[in-house]
Amino acid sequence: MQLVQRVCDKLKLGEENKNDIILINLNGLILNDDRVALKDITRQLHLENVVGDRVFGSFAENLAFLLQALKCGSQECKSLIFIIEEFDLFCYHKNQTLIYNLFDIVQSSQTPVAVVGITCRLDVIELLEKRVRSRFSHRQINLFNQYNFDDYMNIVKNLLQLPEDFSDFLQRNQWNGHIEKLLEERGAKSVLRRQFETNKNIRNLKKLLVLSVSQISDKHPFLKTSNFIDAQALQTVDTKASMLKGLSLLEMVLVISMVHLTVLYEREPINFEMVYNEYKKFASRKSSLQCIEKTVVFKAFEHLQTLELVIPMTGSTLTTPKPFRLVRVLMDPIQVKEALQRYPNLPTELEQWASFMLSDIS
Amino acid sequence: MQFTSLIEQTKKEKFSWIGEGKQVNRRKRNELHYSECTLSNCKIAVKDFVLVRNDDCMDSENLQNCFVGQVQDLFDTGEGNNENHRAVLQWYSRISEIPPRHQKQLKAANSKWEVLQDTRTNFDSNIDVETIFGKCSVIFLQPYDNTDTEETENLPRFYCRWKYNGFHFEPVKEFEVTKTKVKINTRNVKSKSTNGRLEQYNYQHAALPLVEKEILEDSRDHSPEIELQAPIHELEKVQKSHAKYEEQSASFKQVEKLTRQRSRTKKRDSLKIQKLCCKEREKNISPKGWNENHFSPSIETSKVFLKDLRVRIDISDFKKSKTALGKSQFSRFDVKKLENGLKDDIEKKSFLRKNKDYWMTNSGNKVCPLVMAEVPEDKFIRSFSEERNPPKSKKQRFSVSAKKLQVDEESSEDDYENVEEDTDSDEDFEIVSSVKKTSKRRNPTGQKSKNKGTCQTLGRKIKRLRPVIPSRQTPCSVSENPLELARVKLHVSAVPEYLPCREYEYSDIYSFIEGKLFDESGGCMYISGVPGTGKTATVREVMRCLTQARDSGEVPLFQFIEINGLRLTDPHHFYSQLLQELTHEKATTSHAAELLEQRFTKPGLKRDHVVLLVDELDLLWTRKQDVMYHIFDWPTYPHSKFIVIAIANTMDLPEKIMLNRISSRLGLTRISFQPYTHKQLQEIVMSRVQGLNAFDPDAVQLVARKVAAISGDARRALDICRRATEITKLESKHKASPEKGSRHLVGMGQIEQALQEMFTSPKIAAMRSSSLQEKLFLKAVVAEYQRSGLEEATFSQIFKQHVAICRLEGIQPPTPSECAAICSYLGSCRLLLVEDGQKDILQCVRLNMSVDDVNYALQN
Repeated sequence: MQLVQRVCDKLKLGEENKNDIILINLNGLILNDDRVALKDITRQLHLENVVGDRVFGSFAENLAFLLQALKCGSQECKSLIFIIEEFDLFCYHKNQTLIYNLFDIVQSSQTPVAVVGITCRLDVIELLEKRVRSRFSHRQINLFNQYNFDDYMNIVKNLLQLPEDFSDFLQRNQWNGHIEKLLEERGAKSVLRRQFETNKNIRNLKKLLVLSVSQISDKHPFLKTSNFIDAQALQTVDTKASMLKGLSLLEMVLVISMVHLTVLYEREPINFEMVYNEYKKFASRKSSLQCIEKTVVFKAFEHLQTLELVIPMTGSTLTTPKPFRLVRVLMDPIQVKEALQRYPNLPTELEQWASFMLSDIS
Repeated sequence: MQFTSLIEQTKKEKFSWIGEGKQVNRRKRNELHYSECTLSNCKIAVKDFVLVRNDDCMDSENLQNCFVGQVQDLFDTGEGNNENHRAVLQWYSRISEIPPRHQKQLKAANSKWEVLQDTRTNFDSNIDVETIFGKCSVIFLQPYDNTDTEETENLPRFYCRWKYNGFHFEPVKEFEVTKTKVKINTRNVKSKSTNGRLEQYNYQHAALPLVEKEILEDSRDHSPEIELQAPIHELEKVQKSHAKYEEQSASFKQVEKLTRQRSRTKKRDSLKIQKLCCKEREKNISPKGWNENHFSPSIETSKVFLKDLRVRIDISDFKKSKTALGKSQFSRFDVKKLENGLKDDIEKKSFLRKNKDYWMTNSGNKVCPLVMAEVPEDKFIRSFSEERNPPKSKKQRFSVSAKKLQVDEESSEDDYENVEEDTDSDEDFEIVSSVKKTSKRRNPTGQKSKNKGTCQTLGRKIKRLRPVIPSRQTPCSVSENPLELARVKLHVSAVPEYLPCREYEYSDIYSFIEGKLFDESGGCMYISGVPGTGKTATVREVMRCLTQARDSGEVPLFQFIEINGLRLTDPHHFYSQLLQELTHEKATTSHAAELLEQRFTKPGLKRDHVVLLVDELDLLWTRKQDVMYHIFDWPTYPHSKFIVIAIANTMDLPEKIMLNRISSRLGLTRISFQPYTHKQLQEIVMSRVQGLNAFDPDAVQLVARKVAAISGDARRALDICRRATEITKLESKHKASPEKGSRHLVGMGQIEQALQEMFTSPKIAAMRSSSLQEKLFLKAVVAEYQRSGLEEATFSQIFKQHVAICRLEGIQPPTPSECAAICSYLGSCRLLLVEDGQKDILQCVRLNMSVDDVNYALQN
């Protein structure tokens, strides 16, 4: 989008073309319907003054109106540039009417019209209907993040360093020198490399850098490697594992038994009765832990459901009694193990049982 | 149903024959011919002129839409069905009903009261008597006679000057001697003589511009004489009318005074003429208010003289004469002859336009208030409205004159502001002219009503306004570079003069439509073919040729309508669209469907063929398929004259989606457009770049072969060639200094590049440029595929594989959350197909390409 915007700006700045271009920006997320899109096009074309006393109601009328406008143009008309963001969403409109007509105008009339579609989908052409595809000019420009780690580091440097025209010359030099030194450090480099390997996106990089830079305060006026590490830890934290940390012991026991059951039955859905049975086995074996009533256990189970660690099966009917409703477990044994390691004050009995329960899996 | 039968009943009751029926034809014993009948209290006899309902219009009994005819015969078929009362008519067509190319010939007589005796044979003259709804009168005139608007018996009156047989016009003979005719005759004598004068004058004017004065004298002497020749009762009438329009004449006198004052400063001769004009006008006042046409010859003569006599001709004056010229029947001759003389005036006019402000003050302040003060306003308004009697709008007349003289300011209709300005200035002229000429409808008070008029015309104009993209300030640069020319020619929209490689289909379609047109029957044709095989282009080409043939009179009349299924928002909208194209009327879909049903299924009156092109037929599919049913049902009716050409992509559409009753109506007239072969594609491209030294023939062949192997889509081939020319152009720019003489041919290399751009999937490139973890994830997917043997895996399984691969490669494995982010990123690019995120680790993941592709892309 930035690229297209820049091209358009350049086109607009060009002396001769300055007044001969009409840009029309359409966004598939905003214009979720051809009807809305048409109205927006008419608005952006400033056809409203021509519309005059016309009732701006019927979709069909609008379409006919706009088509007429676009068709009757000739070489002398201003160039129209349609920039369609989230182009793939327009393909889901009924019959693809709008894009068919836009392409048809491009292909069949003398009005100078260009249509630029922007999308993240690589297979967007396959979404087009056959007759629409035939009218598409098949010009594609693919933008990929084709840079290596050195380029990536340069981008980081550019982002972090203060610009040349920064008012305080001394501070700029100090800061920039510091950044250069920092980026040479091994710790910072490894953090950035990891980020690079996970995701080449500049957007994600910016997120990381913002997090690190926001840790700067009066006491620590410069960026440190530790800031990077903290930021990355914040970003890469596993949400499930951290959620498990906050569970009560009982819930933890339930989670362990559920994961065990899931693996045992090869990912078949389970229900509360099975889990309770597993819990009773555990409770009877380890007498040191207090045995808890079934209703309380069920409450804990429901709590897990609200946390969406467990989701009900879509097929289960409301007629089935609650304890027998089938659920699916959305946790991996690896996640559970990790969570157990970090769980504060985990009773040794539970720890042993858990390692026993989860060991037969992997 | 009950309601309609009730109506029929009442109609029946109102209808009755008068007198005894006669048997004319022995074979048809039941056929009884009558000479008179009554129809809802209206007596209709043979030789009467009648008005016939036009069922194609919304308001079928509107005077402006109905048909006019003369009853030749009345008879009862005696068959006992609803339509046994028949009448044979001689049709009289309005000018709007004849083909536009012939309308042009009659432009001068462009009046809605004008009719032509229509002797074309392609209209059924045998109609149901009950479609007659009223009587009228038709007056036969000599071609250059003037019309008058005396209405007798409160019947609408039409004027007929010409006979039309579909090819040319002949003057109608006066074959009836009626009471009105006497009157008309005298009038004819009068106007004819003036006409003769004028023509004579015109000829002389063309030859010797200096004799005018003489003629002026001549005509002055002459016209009163003519008046005296008129019958006495006529004079009496005139006197009566004089009395009746006393106020009016009073106002004339006042204005006359004014003009005298003004014109005295000019020339005496003109004054005389003014007087003369006034006199003549006063005498000419007819009881029903005076139609302008009535005086046009005399006024015109005087005006022309005025114009010529006065060296400093007034702009308004000129305009007046111009409008009168445009209005009158012989303007055709006049304008041509006067054109030379008028050139000066046009120049002057443009000069005056510049000084519009001056005129505003001059005319608006000085003259207009004077008159306004002298005459009470209401009288004027009244007289004005009375005078407006046949509401020939001033706009119309102006547009005629504007066309004649090609004054471009007035012809620019689309520009709102311009129009306004124009009418403004018109008003200025008007004011001046009205004072000058004391005149007619355009007296000073006209100003007020005229404002109303302009409002109306403006309103009409807004409705007619077409939305326009603002025009650019700097024109597109047109380069003479052969590459650039080739690029323009290769654009799909640049349709060549003929379509190569579709000759067979072309002749098929042509002969089909032509045959139906000559047979006066309806029919359908179904055309199928994959996109880009020239279906629509071929049909349009056929229609273009047929339209030419129609305009030169070789083919019967028809109306061509094109409707594209994708341009309709709803299949049912088809009806209203069709109706609008047919009659320029708007209606709701259901109402339009009714009207169309009536038009096509009921035996109609004067109707031309309708050729309908339905593009993208499959989009008109509805659950009940009623739209499609109607499209193919209407042509089967004997009177519909409806020819349908339906276009769609799939060959078996009729069998696949249509109900049996529809596909049987569609019939078997089908043409299938095969995809172009590589030779044809080559020919198409070559025909476009012919004469331009821009393409290597081998390169074109490469394109043709490539495209033919994939789709046979001509659009694609043209696009590739266009892209290749662009690449060549870029390359030539990059080369530091291309020698001036060297031409840049589009060669194999450029074509290859263009093909690469268009046909290679971006997926491999996308995979190659993705990050390490993303690559590993794809690898994990492949590994999971291989492990399970299924082409689908859940996220948790893949995650396990992913972690394993990471450990193998010695890379720190990502957390599940990170991995989910990677997964959704790849899913948004559609490298993977991912279920929605709600299922979390249980969501199914599939590759959106083959495993080989992944392996190939990630092997390094």
